[in-house]
Amino acid sequence: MSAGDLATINPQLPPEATVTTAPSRTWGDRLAPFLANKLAVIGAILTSFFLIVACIGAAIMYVPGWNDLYIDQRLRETLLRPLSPGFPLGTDQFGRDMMWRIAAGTAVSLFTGVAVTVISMFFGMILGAIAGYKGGIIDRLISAIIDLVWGFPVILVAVILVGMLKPGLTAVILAVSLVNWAGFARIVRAQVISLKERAFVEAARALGVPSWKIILRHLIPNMLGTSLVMASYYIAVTVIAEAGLAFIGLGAQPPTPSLGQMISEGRNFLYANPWVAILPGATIALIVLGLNTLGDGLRDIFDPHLRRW
Amino acid sequence: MARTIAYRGFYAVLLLVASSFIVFYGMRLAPGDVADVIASHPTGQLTVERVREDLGLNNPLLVQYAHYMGDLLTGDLGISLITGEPIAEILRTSSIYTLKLAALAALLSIGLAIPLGILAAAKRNSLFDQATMLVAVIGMGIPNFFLAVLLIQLFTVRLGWLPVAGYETPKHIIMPALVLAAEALAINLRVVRSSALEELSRDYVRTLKAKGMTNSRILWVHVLRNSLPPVIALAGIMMRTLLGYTLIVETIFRWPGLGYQLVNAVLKRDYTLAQTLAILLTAAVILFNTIADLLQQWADPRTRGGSGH
Amino acid sequence: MARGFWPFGPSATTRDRRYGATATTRNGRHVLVLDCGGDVMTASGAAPLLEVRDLVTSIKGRKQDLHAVDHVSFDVGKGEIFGVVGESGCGKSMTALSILRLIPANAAITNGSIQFSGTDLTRLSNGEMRKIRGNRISMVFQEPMTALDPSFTVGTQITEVIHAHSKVSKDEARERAARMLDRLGITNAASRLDSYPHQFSGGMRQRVMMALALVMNPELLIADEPTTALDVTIQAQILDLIAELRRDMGLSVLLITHNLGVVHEVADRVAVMYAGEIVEIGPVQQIFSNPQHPYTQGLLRSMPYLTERQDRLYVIPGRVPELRAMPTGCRFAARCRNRIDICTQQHPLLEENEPRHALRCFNPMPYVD
Repeated sequence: MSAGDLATINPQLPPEATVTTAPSRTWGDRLAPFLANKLAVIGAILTSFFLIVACIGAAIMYVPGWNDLYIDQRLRETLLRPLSPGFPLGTDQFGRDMMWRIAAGTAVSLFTGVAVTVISMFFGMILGAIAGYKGGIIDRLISAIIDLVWGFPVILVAVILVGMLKPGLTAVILAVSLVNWAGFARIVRAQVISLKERAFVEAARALGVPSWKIILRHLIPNMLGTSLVMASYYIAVTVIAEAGLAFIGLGAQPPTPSLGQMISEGRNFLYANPWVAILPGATIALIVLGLNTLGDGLRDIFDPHLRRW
Repeated sequence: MARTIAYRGFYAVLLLVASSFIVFYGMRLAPGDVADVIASHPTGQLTVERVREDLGLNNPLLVQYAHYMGDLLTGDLGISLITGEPIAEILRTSSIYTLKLAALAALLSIGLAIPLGILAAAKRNSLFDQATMLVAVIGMGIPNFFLAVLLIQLFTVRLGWLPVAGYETPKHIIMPALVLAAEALAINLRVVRSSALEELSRDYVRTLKAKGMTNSRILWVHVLRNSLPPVIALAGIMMRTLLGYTLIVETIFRWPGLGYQLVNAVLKRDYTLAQTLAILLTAAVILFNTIADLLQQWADPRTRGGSGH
Repeated sequence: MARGFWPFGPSATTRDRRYGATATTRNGRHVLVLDCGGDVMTASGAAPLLEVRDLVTSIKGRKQDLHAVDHVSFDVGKGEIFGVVGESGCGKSMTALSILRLIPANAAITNGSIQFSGTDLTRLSNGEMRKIRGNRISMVFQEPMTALDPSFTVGTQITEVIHAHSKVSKDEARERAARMLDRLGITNAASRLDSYPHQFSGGMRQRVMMALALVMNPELLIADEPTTALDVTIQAQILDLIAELRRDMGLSVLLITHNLGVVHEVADRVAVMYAGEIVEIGPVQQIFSNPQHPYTQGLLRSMPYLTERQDRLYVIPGRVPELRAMPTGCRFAARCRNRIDICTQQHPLLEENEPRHALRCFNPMPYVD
């Protein structure tokens, strides 16, 4: 085969076949490795469970009249053990019901995680797409910023931001988004660059359809899987960061219920009533475990080469 | 190599200037005028206007920034707004505490991970291997502040071996160092193990056997040396992550390092101290990033500059 | 023309040297013993350096153990270069690794003996075996690119062999290493000791490998495809070097290769292996001038330089049977053009058909080129 043969064959490859794999595989094919991966299934079950808990938690926080479930103090029933009648997970030092507090805290944790992921996905995709599409000096600039913030310690950023703003969820959400957008931007940028050349070939044929439209059309289905994977990881990272900041007093402020805060307060009762700290701690550990294993499972399906660090 | 260092150095300086300006500017946006805080301080009979004048707050921002950086670089760091202590003095003592803690944590995480990881690889699928990997999974899954609570529960509450927090005796450093090291240790363990497994399957290992080398020399000299590049490459990233975690771990155990000081300064709105600490810690992160890049290239003689043919 | 004809470009002197040397080693009376379990062949009446008898190396399979080396017997005499030829997967490398007991963890020597200077290597403890490796028996491998540890200097890698097998000072070890490199034709040997493997070219790296192998003055060198990864001129240099070392140091060499040209170049005797068995064994000249086994004949036909006038290279049809599905009859029968009925029914034994030349075939045919 001569070089000429190669040249005539390559442009005829349909871009769909090389760029996106989605249409060639059914959802059944895609789910098979997921279901085969037991850890991933456990991750999905755990995550679904905590999502439901979070919905219940959100309901009791926002439905008028329900929030006394977790706010009401029963000063004659403080520090009841788990499995006490009426309080499956016991009560804290103010006699508040641990079960409802944990549900509300889970809602706050997951809300923070989802908010961060939405914000960083939005900015990450826009900036990554611009960098990849425009190239040149703009790409160099955006890439430099990505290099700087990607992997910057989230806690440090959060603490500095809290110094600029004030302690609370807003600072936490901003801080984690400020770091995490770079993760999305890196991947989108690489995707757009690899799509660009193929897209131009097609754009020329498609009689003047702007190539960015074509890129967008291929990019979105391609990014769906990867985004799911990264979202799982990033929600986990955010849940940890939020709890950690709340733990040292820089996160959500009372009366907003927060798991990190609950662990921190529970430290005072470790001698006689360790569950006050350990129950919310175990909740965080399980949420994070669920999200990480789910992320690993999703990665095996969509993007086996994605690197976490 | 010299060119790479020069280029990376220049880039790092650029990032330092940019990030220090952002922190400086950000702190100016903080709620409540800096001058208000100082003027309201009980020790001083100062008017807001007087303080503004003294601090140069009426000058254009860039001038203020230049002044500040000039002072910073000449070591004239001013005093803490809250305690009146010279910031230079605070930095000196607390950086020693942080260095002690970080050095011990790094030593633990690398010093334990390398022998354990290599042994796990050599005894692949043995009970020892599986136990090591279980520890790694747990170490990666548990948020460090919760791990701290669990360790306190075990070593302080149950066993009474270690003090709960503080810095007075050598015993005080054990738990914070363990907590700080945990995640890095877990990650390093996995990296060393998989790296050693890969090395064990290489051709040169067969050559070494054919040369009559003992198994222990093959493992602890040759495989060890060749398994290091991924660990060293990760070390820079680890340092960066560790630095972020010091904020939480030092605060939990009231270990008077830089992280604890920063969190406290932020909580107490001690702007001058917070700003200086934030800029210094950001600089440290950028420094670690640069070192990480350079280490990565140095670690592997195959990619070292000036390869013969 | 002659140089182009032989891809290795041997000099006339090398060839003369070889024939001169082999004439003396072939003087003794040869003995051929056949038994039911396997075939035994000795080269000469004098006690050989290495006697492999009935060697079986099996790989643990899911259902049954697979014989990668199947009742292989041969000798290597003192100062002899003995070639083992065959396609990849025929068991020749496994044979070599079995001698040094470096076979993979899922394989084991399940039968036979390997006598080396009167000791049965299969019965030695791991510690005793280690004292022999790199010291009395050395091995060089095919991949000069990957067979050296990339993170240590060449000097360290050579001196660690010296330190492992003898008690000498660091300086003395370094000096010996430098002398060895110099002996193997590496210029500036003393300063090259501080270079890393990636700073050497492929051919130079193979010389370093040889230095590693030869620095303890071993009695036997096992060379597993030592020239395969090298380009043609370097191949010839390395082969010349092996022949020269044999002459100067009295070294015995077990040369494993898939390349008949290499064997013709330096070896005295050769065994042709197919599907784990030796199918033909004898002096190189006889095998080349009068190959008897159809497989050997096929190999010779498929050599480019012997079929000068042919347009196309001869290719042996079919492929090697899998270890899992070995035929009961002759293992080559399915690909053989001389096949007769008995070939698919009975397994042929290795039998002598002329002095010092044995083959495993029911229906040998004269070789027509």
